Parts: sequence; C-alpha cells; structure tokens
Amino acid sequence: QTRSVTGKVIDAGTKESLIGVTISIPGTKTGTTTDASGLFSLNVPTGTDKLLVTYIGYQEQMVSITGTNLTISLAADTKNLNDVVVVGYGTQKKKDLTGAISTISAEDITGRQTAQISESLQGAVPGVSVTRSSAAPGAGATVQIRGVTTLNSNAPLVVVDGIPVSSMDLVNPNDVESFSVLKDASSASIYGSRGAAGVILITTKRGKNGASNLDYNFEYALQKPTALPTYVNSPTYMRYFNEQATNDGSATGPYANDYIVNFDARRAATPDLFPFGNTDWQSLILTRDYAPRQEHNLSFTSGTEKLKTKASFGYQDIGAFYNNYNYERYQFRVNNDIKLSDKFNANVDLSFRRLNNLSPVNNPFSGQSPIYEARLMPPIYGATYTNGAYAIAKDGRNPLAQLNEGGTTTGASNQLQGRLALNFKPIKDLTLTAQVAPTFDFDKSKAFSKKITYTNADGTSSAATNTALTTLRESRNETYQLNSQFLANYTKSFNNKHNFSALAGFESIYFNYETLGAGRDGFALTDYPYLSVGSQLLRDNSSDAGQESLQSFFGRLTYDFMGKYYIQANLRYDQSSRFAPGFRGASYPSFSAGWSISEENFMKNVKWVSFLKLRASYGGVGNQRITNPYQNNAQNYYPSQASIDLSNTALFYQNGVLVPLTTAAQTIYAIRDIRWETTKSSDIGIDAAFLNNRLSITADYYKKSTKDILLSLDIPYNLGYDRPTQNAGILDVYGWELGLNWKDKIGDFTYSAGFNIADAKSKIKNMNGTRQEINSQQVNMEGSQFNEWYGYLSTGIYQNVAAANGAAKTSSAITAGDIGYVDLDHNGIINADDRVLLGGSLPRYQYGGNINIGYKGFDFSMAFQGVGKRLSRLNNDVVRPFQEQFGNFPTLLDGNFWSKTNGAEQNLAAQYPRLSNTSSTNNYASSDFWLIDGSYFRLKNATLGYTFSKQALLKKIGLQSIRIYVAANDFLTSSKFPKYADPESGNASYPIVTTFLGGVAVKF
Amino acid sequence: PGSDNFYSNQNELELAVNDLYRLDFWTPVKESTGAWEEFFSDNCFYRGGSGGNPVIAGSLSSTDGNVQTFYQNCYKAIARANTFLESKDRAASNTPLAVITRLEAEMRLIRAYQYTKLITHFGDVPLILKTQTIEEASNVGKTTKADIYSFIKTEYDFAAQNLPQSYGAAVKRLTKGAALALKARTALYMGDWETARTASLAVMELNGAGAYSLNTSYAALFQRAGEQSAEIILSIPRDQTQKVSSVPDDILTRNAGGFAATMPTRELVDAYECTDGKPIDESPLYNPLKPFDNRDPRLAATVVPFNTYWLGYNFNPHPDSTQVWSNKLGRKVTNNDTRAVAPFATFTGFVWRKGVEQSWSDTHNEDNDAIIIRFAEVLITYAEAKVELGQADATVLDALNKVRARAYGVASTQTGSYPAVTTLDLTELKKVVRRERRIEFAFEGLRYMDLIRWKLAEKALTKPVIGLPDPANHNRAKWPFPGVTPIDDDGIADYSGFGADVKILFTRSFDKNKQYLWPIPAVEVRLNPKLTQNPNY
Repeated sequence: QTRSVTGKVIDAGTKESLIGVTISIPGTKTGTTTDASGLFSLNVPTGTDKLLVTYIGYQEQMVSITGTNLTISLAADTKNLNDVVVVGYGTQKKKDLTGAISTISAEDITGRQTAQISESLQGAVPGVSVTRSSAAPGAGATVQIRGVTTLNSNAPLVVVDGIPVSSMDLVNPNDVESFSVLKDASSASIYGSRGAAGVILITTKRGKNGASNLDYNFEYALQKPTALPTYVNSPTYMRYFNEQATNDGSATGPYANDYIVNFDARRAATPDLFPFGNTDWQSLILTRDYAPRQEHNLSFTSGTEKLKTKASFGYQDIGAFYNNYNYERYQFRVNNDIKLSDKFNANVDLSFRRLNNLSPVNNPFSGQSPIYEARLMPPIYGATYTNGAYAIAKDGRNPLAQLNEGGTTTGASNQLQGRLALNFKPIKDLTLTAQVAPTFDFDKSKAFSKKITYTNADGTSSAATNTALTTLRESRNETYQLNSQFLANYTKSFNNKHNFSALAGFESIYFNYETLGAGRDGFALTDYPYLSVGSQLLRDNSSDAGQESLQSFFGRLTYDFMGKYYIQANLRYDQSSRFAPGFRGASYPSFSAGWSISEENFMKNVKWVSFLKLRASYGGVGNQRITNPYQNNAQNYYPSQASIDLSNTALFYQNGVLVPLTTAAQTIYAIRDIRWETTKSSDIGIDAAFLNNRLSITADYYKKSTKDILLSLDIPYNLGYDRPTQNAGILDVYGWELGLNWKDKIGDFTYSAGFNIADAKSKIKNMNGTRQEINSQQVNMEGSQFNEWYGYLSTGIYQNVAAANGAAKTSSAITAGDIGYVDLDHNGIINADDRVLLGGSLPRYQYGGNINIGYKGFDFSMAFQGVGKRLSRLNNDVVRPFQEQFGNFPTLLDGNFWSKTNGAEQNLAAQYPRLSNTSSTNNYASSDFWLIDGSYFRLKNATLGYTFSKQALLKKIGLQSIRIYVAANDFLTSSKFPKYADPESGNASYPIVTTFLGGVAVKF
Repeated sequence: PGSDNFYSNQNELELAVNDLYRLDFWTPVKESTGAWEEFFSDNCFYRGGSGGNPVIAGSLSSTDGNVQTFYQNCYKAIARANTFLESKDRAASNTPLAVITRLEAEMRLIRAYQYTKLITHFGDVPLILKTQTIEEASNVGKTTKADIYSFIKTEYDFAAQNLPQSYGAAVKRLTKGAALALKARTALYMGDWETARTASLAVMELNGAGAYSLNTSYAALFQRAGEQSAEIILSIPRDQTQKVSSVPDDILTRNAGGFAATMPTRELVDAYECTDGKPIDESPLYNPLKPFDNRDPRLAATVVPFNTYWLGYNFNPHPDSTQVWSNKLGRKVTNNDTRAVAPFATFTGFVWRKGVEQSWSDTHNEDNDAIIIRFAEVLITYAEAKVELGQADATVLDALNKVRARAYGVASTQTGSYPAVTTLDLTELKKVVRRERRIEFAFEGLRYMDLIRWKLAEKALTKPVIGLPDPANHNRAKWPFPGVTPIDDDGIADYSGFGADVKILFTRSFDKNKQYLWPIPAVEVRLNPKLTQNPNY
C-alpha cells in the first residue's frame, strides 16, 4: 500500500524554491528530487509518517507527513559546510580528524563585531590565547596557540588560501569562509619549519552556483575608554614633590610653601605663571569622549557551471580620542573559479589592500605618544595662556601644542596579491594542483616633526621650542614574495571499508625586501613636508635589503577502516637559506591515530552517545624565526654570518678640515652552526557528542618540548660582542583544553551555548647554563617558567631607621619608608644574587564562552572571556610617581605611601614606599611587593539583531532581507585592578575601549 | 662583508681602525645623560636622572646601567682591536709594512687605553688579548691591576715608538704624543710617579711638527675656535652635520631656553684662588658679597659671573631680580634664572660657561670637539709626579707657572702679572698642584678620578651639596654668600657654619667601604664563575 505525497521545498530565508533537493523515506533507498520549480512527488508506503529531506548546504530535516501537499522550508546550514575542515594543503571531514584542530565559523568571527580578526578570537577557541595592550586605531592583538613554544616569536603561521601571510589582520573579516587552527604537531607538521607555534588556515568565500547576490553591510561604532588613570591636583603634587626632595636630602623642596597653601589665590592672580596651572592634560588631549569607527562592506556573488565569482569590497575608518590619529583600510578581493573541462579547473584570485595611517609624530623630548605625554605632565604646567595662545608648559614640552602643531606621520601601505591555481584530474581519484602566488608590498611613510615657536604669557616671543629643528623622515619599502606549490592528492576507497588518501607536494617560498629612507633637518617652513625644502647641510639617507628562501617537500598518508580506525602520517623536509650550508635541511615527521568508538557495534545501542572518538598524535615541527634584538627584533636573514657592519662614521681632521670616514666592525658574535629549533609535541584528545548531537565536547591534553631554542642569550661582556641568537636549551610546555557546546531548538526558538577553558604551563629545562633577563623584571632560566617574574622577596616597608639599619640592604642609602628584601645568601648585602623566581607572568586558565539565541526574526548573542589566574604588575603610569623625575603623581598613591609626616599607625597601613628618587632603584626593583592578582572576567560582546523578511514589502523595494543589529563590546569587566587601570592595558598605551555599535545588513 | 675575508687590504684595515675613533670608546667624555664622571665629583651637581646619582648618593650597585655601559664599551673596543691584530697580516701582501705597523700601533694604543679605564675604575679585571669563544669568555679570571698596568706600559711604548709625531697633510690619527700623554695619565692614576714623570717629560720635550704648546686663550680653547689648537693632544671631532652631537640644554640657563640642571657647585667656585694666588679663606682680596671679584680668571671662564651678559641675557639669580635686561632682544624680560620666578632655576646659583657657545641657545646642539687629553694636563702631571717623587725644582715651578700664566693671558716669565708659584716646599706644592688640577680641568671630567686616587672621595663626597637659600628665606644683606668659606688642607670646603644662610640641596653619601672600586656588572659575574665581585657590592 502506498500513497502519493507531493510538496514544495523552499529556502527558509529567501522563500525561493530549491531545485534538486533529495526527499527520501528514512531507512530506505526510496526517494526523489525536486524539479525546477522545487516540486516533488513521492509514493510512500502506508505507515510511513516521516520524510527525510536533505540538500547540500542546508540542514537535514525530518518532516512529518501532515497531509498530502507539503511545504517544506529548509534552513541553510553553514555547519554542514564546516563538516569539511580545512587542513594543511587540503581538507578532511571533521569526523575523520586525528589531529587537534579547532575551527571557528565565519559567523563567530564577524559576529564579534571587532575591527580586526585577531580580536574576535579572544575567548573563542580553547588553547588560543589572545592578548592585547591597547585598542588604538588599527591595532591588532597578539595570538598564541597553546601557550609558548619558543622563547622567540610565538606568533602562529597564518595561511590564507594556501599562501602564507604576515598577519591574519590583513584579511577582511567578512571575507572569511572558514578558519582552522592547527594546534598539535600532527596537524601542523605538514608546515614543518614554520609550524612550531601552530598554524591558522583561513579560506576566503568563493562564488556559488546559482543565484546572484549583492550584500551590503554598514556598521557604525563609538568607542570609549574602559579606564583612565587619574592624578592629584597641583597643590598636592607640589607638596609631594617637595617631600621627595627633602627625603633625598634637600633642606627644602623647590616649590615655595606659599605656592602650595595659597595656590588658589595665586592661580587666580597669575594663572599664566608657572607653577599655577591646574591642567588635566588627559582630558585636554582626549578631546573626544567617544572615538568613532565605521565600516562598509559590499560583496557580489554570482555563479554558473563554468564560472563562479565572488567580489568584495571593504572599507574601514577608525578614529581616535585625540586629533591627528586615524586608521583607514580598503580591501578588495575577487575570487574566480573557472571550469575549463571535466578534467581541468582553475582558481584565479586577486586581492588588494591599502592602509592609510595618520598619527601624531612622537614627542621630540620623550619620543613618546600623546597618551604618554598627557599622563606624564603634571597639572602645574598650563596648556594655554589666558589669552588663548599655547603656553610654554614644561620648557616647550606642551603635549597639547605638540599634538596639534607638532606634525604628523602619514603612512600608506599597499599589498597586491594574486593566486593562480590549476587543478587537473587525470583520473577519477587523483587531483594535481599547481599554484603560483606572488605578493607585492609597497609601503611609504612620511614623518614631519615640526618646530613649535612659543610666546611668553605677555605675547613676546619665547626662547623655548619643542625641538631645535623641523625634520622630515621619509621611507619607501618594497617586498616581494613568491609562493609556488605543486600538489598531488589521491583518494581511494575499497569496498567502502578501506579508505586511503595520499598527498605529495613541493613548495618554494622566495622573499626579498628593499628599504629606502631619506630625511632632512632644518626646514625654514613648516607647511611643506617635502625634502627639497629642508636644509642642504642636514641631509641623510639610507637603504637596506635582504632575501630568504625556503624549499620543501612534503607528504601525507591517511587510512581508515570503516570510519572506525584511523591512522595518518605526515612528513615535511625543509631547506632554509637562513642557515649555513650543512645546517639547512630538516625533516619533520608526525603520526596520529583515531578510534571512533561510537561506530563500534557495542555502542550503537547507547542512544545518548551520538559520537565518541579518541585521538592521539605525536610529531615534530620547527622554527627558523631568528630576530635581531638590536634592530627592533627585525628578522635576521643571515644569522650564521659574522657580518661586518659598515654603517658608522668616525670624524677626523685633514689639514684642519673635518673629514668623515667610514668605519667597519663586527658588532654581533656569529654562531656558525646555528640550526633549526625543533618542537616535539604529543597530544591525546577526545571528541564526543551526546543527546542527539546537542551536547558536544572536545578535550585535549598535550605536551610540547622544544629544543635548540633560538634565543639571544646573555654572553659575557668581555667577549666584546653584542648577543647573537643561539640554539639554546629546552623548553617544556604541558597543557590541556576543554570545549563544551550545547545546541538545541524548541520550535522557533533556537539556542546554543559554548564554553572553553585551557591552561598551559611552561618550564625551561635547560638554558646552556645561562639565562635571558627581560627588562630586569622577568627571566628565562633553567627551572623557570617562560618569562617568569624574577626579583627580590620583600620584607615590607621599613617602618623606622633602626629597622632599616639593622637589615641587609641594596645600599647605604636605604632607610625608613623604603622596601626591604630578604638576604637569601646571608652575606649582609642585597644584590642580584638575592633574586628568586616569583611566579609565572603568563595568563593561566584562560576561558571564554558564548550564548546564541534565535527566535523568529530575532537573534541575540553574547560572549565572555577571562583569565583565571595571573600575576601582574601595575603599570608605571598608575603606580609610580614623578616619572622622568618631574612627572605626575597618580591618585592611587595619594595618602597611601609611607611618609615621615604620617603617624606610625598610618605608616603601618601604607601600601607604597616613601617618595624618593635616590631609593627608586631599590623600591621599584622587581620584587613580589609589586605583584598583584591579575585575573579578570570580561563581557566581550553582546549583539541583538532582527531580520526583516516580510517578503512582499521587501520585494517591492527589490530586497531579499534586511538585518539590523546593535552590539556592545568589552562593556563589563571584573578584576582586582584599581578602577584606574584596565587589566589588559599596557603602560601609557592607548586605552582599551568599550565599543557600542549598530549596523544594517541588506541583501539584494 | 663578513669577517672571514675582511682585513685583506689597507682600506679594510683602516676602516676597522676608524671604528675605534668613535666617542663610545673614549669615555669619560662630556655627556648630558648623567653618566659623565664630572657629575660624580664635587665640582658639579646634576639634579636630574632616574635614581639620582648613585655615586654621590652611595647607592651604586652591580646592576647600575652606567657602570655596565662603561665596562661593555671597553671590552668591545678590546675585542675589535684583538680581531684586528690577529687578522691584519691578511693584508700583508698588498699593504706597506709601515702602514700595517702604524695601524697596529693605533689599535694597541686604543686597547691599552681601554685597560687604563678598566683598572682605574674596577681594579683587577680580565686581561683579554686574543679573540675568544663564548666558552673561553665565560671562564676567564681576573688579572691583577698591577700586571695589567705593567703590560699596558709596554703597549703605550710600542705605540709611542711606531706612531708619527704628526701627520702633515694626511688624515690626522693617533700620535706619538697621544701615546705618551695617555701613558702619563695612566701612570699618574696608578701612583707610578717615575713613569708619570718620564712620560710627561717626553711629551714636553717633543719638538718640531707635532710639538705641543698651551693655547693663548684658556676660554677659547674649549670652543670651536680652539679645536685646532696646538694644546690639544687628542680630541674626538664632533659635528652636527655628521650626526655626531648632543643636546646641551641641561647646561644652558633657563632664560636662554635651557634647564640649568647641570650646575657648578659652590665648592668649585670657592676653590679658585684670588689674584694674589691665595685661597679665598686666606686672601684679603676675597669679598663674599662680590665673590667673582679679584679671582683667578679661569673662574669667570668656567662659571658665569653674576650680573654679566650670558647667552643674550643678564645672568642674575638674585631673588629680587624678577626681571632682567636681554641684550639679545633689547628689552627687559622675566628673569627665569632666579628661583623667585622659576622654581627650577639653577639651585646652586651657578651655571657653566666653559666650552659653551653662544649659538647653543639657538641650535640646542653641542658639537664642539671632545677633548680627551691636552698639553696642560701633561704639564701638571709632570709637576705632580715630581712633587710626589720629592723632586721639587725649577722644572716643577716652570710647568705649573706656564699653566697659571696662560690663565692670566701672560707669559710665564711675566711673574708680576700673575701669581707665580715660587715655593719649593713639598707640602705646599702638593696643595698647589691639587688645586691647580681641580680648577684647570673643571668640567672636563678629571676630578672624580682625582678624588678616588687621592682617597679624598670619602671626605669630599660625604659633604652636602650647597645652594642658595630659598628666595623667601634669603637674607638679602648676605647676598650672595654669607661669609668666607673655610677650606681645609685637602681643599675641601666646609659650609656647616653658615646655618640657614645656605641651603642643603643634596646629602652626599659616598660609601668608602666599596665605592673606591666600581662593581663588576652583575651579569658578568653571573655568567663567569671565575669573576669575583668587588668587595661589598
């Protein structure tokens, strides 16, 4: 007995008919597909009350037969697309993975509404640590996969559509189709010498077969600082300054008592006279309470059988809290897929990016940013006179005048990248791919630092200036990178039981750069930033160049038996031009295996377990990133060569006339046998899904051991050279990751929630008997964690002179009110030998999570992120008075420091040492005194959106849908930090911001 | 180029030697950062600097950045010299032997001078005479100061024998005179009076091209006008257009757009004799209300006298002079050089004049040549060595009087026109020599090593730094100074009797238990188990 069921299948979003949808009777091979109008007709046996509806790219649906003419709405499913995971030089099905690979959906990246991709990863993936120290226009975040691997650069390799790039922030977030993080050696070893710090694979969206689409998205955001330090007022500043002067042995301080006690009266009478300013520099400099950010994104998709195209254009404009600071980004991308024949197809991609940066030149006095200057400058200096003109402030160092009149740096960088890939399928299971991808960078910058001439309060001209000369520095840099690959992919299945795949490949990377710099000093005019206008005498120019290449062979073999038992092996052989001949080659093998327990017969009856798989892997990856600590950590392409530096000039006389002569010296010691750094990593993991796939869990435990770490170790000064990079020591890292996801649907109400947490702990096993100290605060040495805090153990603040005199001290200058330390070696002196490890500086127990809710047209999502444990030190701009010997006095200290004017009880309660410049080396030395609990919890994002899909109205104006949304980022934080300080902010850095934004997405 | 194939011809050899003519390797030279040795002495007070001034505050430690840089730069020069000496013969086939030998002499002289700096500051240090591996450098022990000294004496001799006295029309490089003069300075610092005497005498006896003589004008010697003077034995040229220059703002007055943060001390001002050749506490010519009158002319050439025009402004720190005349602007201006107006006007009341050019207030750029050693030092070294050897004779008086007569702009024979030294009493002469060194070389960075070697640091550097009283408290009747400063036999002034009529600016506390030697940098001790730290650091 059968009956006929007819119906129509439509897209749940667009309501358009879907062609070729498979309608089948569950558990049988009986089925049909929809016709060109989306209609179907199927005879079903009596007793069958459900139909299975499946369609590529849409969620599978079980439909109850409730009548004879059905209308079935299918929802598009991006998860299905993600079922295929992008791995190194290929793809694999998610269920077949044996390595530790995390993916993030395109929605999760764009849904965070961040300006840069790197920021959107914060708290999104277990084991991916994202830290930032500022939210300045254009700033990205630092991304680390599975903690530290090396003591060198821990930035992961980022590969976009098969091409290695310098930063993931070069990609428009809206172009991202898939995002994979290769965390363990088995998945990353196919990238060999570049995979040690993990690999991030990004693929961009491509055209699809079918209807043409045009999408437009506009977003506008306002940003406001999460926290700003505050400082005491002028009379208090002067009083404390005097106290420091007398503490340091001066009979009286420089500020007359009359200035302090009669400050208001004197300020009223002579506001233009130093020190009767009362200036809140920070609020003067940060002229905007809200910094604006806007984005436009436009994309066009069209596709036929022969040609599929996706073109996108993105524009981003981010302003700042102060003037002359702006970031602008244009991104253009066209991805084409061309089918030439059944055997040949090609990908032709082209992308172009331009960044325009505008920023104030650094202050000539300090070389620092307006934020630093605004926080440093005490209130006693006036910014402007009562007549409105800029005041001299501190001897011509006026942060406000400097910002507005001191000149700017403009930078423009252009990147043009092309990719041509030709795929050839000579036989059914074999695909051969040849790819060539050149990348060109053209950057220029122009820094025009302008001399400001001040007037005195009475209007007469002043001798004070911000800098002696107006200077112009220009640079033009070019880089070229060519990536060439040849890949062969073969897959074969026997009897649906034995599944094999093999990959073999060759890759060559060639890179070169050339820089050009030119400058002049002494511009008579400050309106013409062109070199010809500057002084002929004070000219300067420079250029530099370098190149590197990498050649590699690699391969992968996978085998599985009936989707139950998996094994995989990878091998890569790399040769790098960075090393001396004889040390160039290195091979990186890896192995992994998986067991899908849920596929076993004995598990089939366990209904609540939907999926269960165990994985294990072991392998090696490498690192060749050697930097030069004496050149801003620029890459060192020739570390094995003892190069003679010809750059200096020495002056001589010849017949009484000055002659500059070139000089030559080897400055950095060369390590001829420098070689690859190697990380061996092992991982065991479990992937599981329960309750009809509603709950999924991923957990991993791993161990990494890095040997021959490339590091600039301290070397004896008597050697006479600067530190080279050496192969030094062994670093071990242990860690674990846990990810939980819940996803369900109740009628029209869909919701999901995710949580992840990870921890990693490093330990340095060997450092060749030496160590690396970082800013006299942190250390890398045998037995320490990576960048562990290192310093004295404090005994607290000496309450009286007798206590100070009775103790071992750093010098005889230390007295009551200073910080005392434990004399560990009992030799009566506190010196460098009394320092100990004080605990790790890296964040531990980093967690993150999100909640997504959908109901009819509404969508709501929320994400949070935090650090469970961390030892932090408060930034100097919050906690240290009188920086540069005259700087501001933070409110945090006001009344909280040991003072000879306090009572004994008050001093016992004092949290901070006495005011002293002489003792500052002692008091602000690295010690446990300054370390605080740096854990925090932060709401990263909340977004509420509504999608209009009332067809009739929209159709009338030619639209498919409109979504409007509002969101807030970083709007709630809980931490032990004082309210003046953000737990993520760096010292004197541009503030971390709370962002409020709104947007509209229109589909034509 | 790489080090494997460098040093293969004369040009490459010269490039390598040129590198060591850079200022980095010739400390102590004048700096504005606070690391200059004059700041460690009782001649000068620098009020800036993070952590203050560790030497005079008694807080010098093995992690001190200045100490580290000093040590590091010495060994950098040594390593480069050693590499050169080991590799120079690669060029033997295409370079005249005489040229190679001269370049070798330059390198050995520079290397010897690095050891002079090291042993005078640190005592025993590693003696490195060949290129090392990291392992070797991590296991090298100290060589005694005495052994290093006897080695470098022979090095100075080699240089003196193989360097020309002058270069004629060729590029001027290190000379025989420089080798001998630096040897004399080293010997003096080591207390090897006989060597100091013979080496300085050898310089004095040079004749013909490359012989030295005192510059006619003391003041002009330190300015651009003096850069080619026959008095200069060794100087490192500086020039703004070649990007070898520094910012002099700490030295300039506040009226002229500077900070007046680097100040002459009252102790220095009080050290100058009166024109009768007597110290101020003995001379009837001294009047504390007019302290610049009747003084050795070098005072006014070194420190700006009150009420004189300086850098375009009348310099007057008097608390009631809230306005002063500017001869640059032709009008009265607010006087930022008195603390009654500007709280950070010079604390001691003094500003430096020696070597300062008028143009600096406009260019904010100091590029006068850095004088490393000059003929006057050789003369006074000779005198000191002779006195210490107990050989007071006419040659001693002649050497001293040449320097003193030049200060007065007369010939040493015109004994009526300047206070010539006539005594042959050894005790008296020793006092004169030490006073003469202090004032002749004030603001040239030599005073600190003198205090160290004379063991006077524990006395001079434990006295407070004295300044003018606060404007509100200054007894105007006692402007500028309340009385005649008592000065003891060591030339150390005592201000304790003046009470509130002087202001204590800074309490010095040089630690005699350790600070006669600098600490070996902590990193170096840590990396090399064979290096012992100097006592009490």
